[in-house]
Amino acid sequence: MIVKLEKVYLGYQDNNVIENINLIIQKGDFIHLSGDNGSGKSTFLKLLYMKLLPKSGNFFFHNKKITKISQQHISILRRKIGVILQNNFLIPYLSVSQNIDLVNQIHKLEILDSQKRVKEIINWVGLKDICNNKVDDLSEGEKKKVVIARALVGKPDILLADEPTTYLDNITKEKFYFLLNTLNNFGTTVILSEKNDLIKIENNHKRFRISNKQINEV
Amino acid sequence: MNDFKITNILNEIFFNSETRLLSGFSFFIVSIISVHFIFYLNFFNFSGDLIKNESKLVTLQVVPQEGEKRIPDDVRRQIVNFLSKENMISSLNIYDERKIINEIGFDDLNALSKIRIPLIIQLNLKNSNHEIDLEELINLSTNRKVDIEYHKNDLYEVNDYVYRIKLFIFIFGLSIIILFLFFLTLLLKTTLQSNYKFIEILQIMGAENKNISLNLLVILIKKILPGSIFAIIFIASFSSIILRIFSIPLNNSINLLSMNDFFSNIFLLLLFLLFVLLFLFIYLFIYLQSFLEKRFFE
Repeated sequence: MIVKLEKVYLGYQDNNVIENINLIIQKGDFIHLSGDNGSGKSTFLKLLYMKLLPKSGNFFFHNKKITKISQQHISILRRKIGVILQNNFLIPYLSVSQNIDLVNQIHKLEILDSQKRVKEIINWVGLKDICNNKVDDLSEGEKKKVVIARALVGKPDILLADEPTTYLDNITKEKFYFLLNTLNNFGTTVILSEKNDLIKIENNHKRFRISNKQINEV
Repeated sequence: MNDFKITNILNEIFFNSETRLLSGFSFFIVSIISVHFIFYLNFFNFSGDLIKNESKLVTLQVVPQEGEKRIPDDVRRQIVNFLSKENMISSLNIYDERKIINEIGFDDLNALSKIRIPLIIQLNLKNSNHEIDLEELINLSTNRKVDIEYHKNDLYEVNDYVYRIKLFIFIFGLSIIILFLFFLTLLLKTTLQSNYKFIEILQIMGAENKNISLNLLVILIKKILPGSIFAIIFIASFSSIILRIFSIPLNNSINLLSMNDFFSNIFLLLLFLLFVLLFLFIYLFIYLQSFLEKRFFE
């Protein structure tokens, strides 16, 4: 079990965005999360990467209860999570490989290990030919691949993707979903939030929808 | 990719366009702070020595009786013998009669019949709290009028002025340090706020606040340091030259390891700078930690 949520209420100040969440996410799960704009998909993902804490209820990550007082501990737990946000947050004047290596720098990985991992992941996502290019010179699809590579280079247990296919054309979207499926087949837990339900669902995937402040399995 | 380090990225993102501003500003501010420090130190030692030495001085005056032109030699000898035997006196200086006569404008003691020349002795006490045995002196001078003036009694006002000057230099120097701190805090806050998205993504990737703070502070200190060291060398040279050219009677009288004034000043200024930077580092570290911790969660 990677994540366990018990009677979690989520929101800002007096406003509840999602109420009474009871959910267990197991290792290897592929979860599709859908909902309208402003329904709380991003807020829910913020909870999972511990940017936002529950207003009430219990949140366990790897069987550890997450509370506000353990910031240093949370920083270390965040290293087990790969995050793809709506905005790429790439550093424009760094090369593709340097942007990806940023995670290894934070994880304080030895240079040799770090280079090996970056090389592997660059090959895997198909960025080999442009690995020395500046991020600013890439297309949106290529940038998205860099973000995926950056999210995966730390070998996360769980990958969170918040509307990752916005601004991507259909072919790139297909490739992106294929990448996520492959990752999931290798054992990485994937949680993917999308505005609509147009995603091709595999049989073993779970599907949740957020509406009226409730999160329900579809 | 070999030289790629997160510090380099932070260096590119934070304070990159402010390098010249920081160097110039740190030179200017550290120069002003150093001037205050040097003058405080010099004045502190100068006034301290002056007051300490002056407060040990005692002026003793024995006035001749009516009809006497001067104190008889036997009385004079007895008084000097008595004072010489006192353990509390480190030195004794008898004012030359001829000099006194000349200073009041006469050539000869017999020029005017009513002029009486007192015996004036200046004593240097080992400790400013010691007191001279007045009764014994009156006895020895066979009831002639004896005046003892402790110089420390006249120093209260001087002490007060010296204290005020020192306080003024100290408060002014401290105010400039606080302004410098305020400026750096403001700069840090502005640059953090404008680049917060980058910091946020680092936090989400698992970077610890402590490491982000330390990296940022090292970058900031590196930008300040060259200007500050240059300011210290400049002020040490400048103050030495000014003190010599105008023969200002200030000297720091701290001869560190037999170094001359210039190197002593540099050494002391570097120690002072180290102390100021350490203080800056601790304060800004606490500020950064609080900034990052407040934004760690939404």
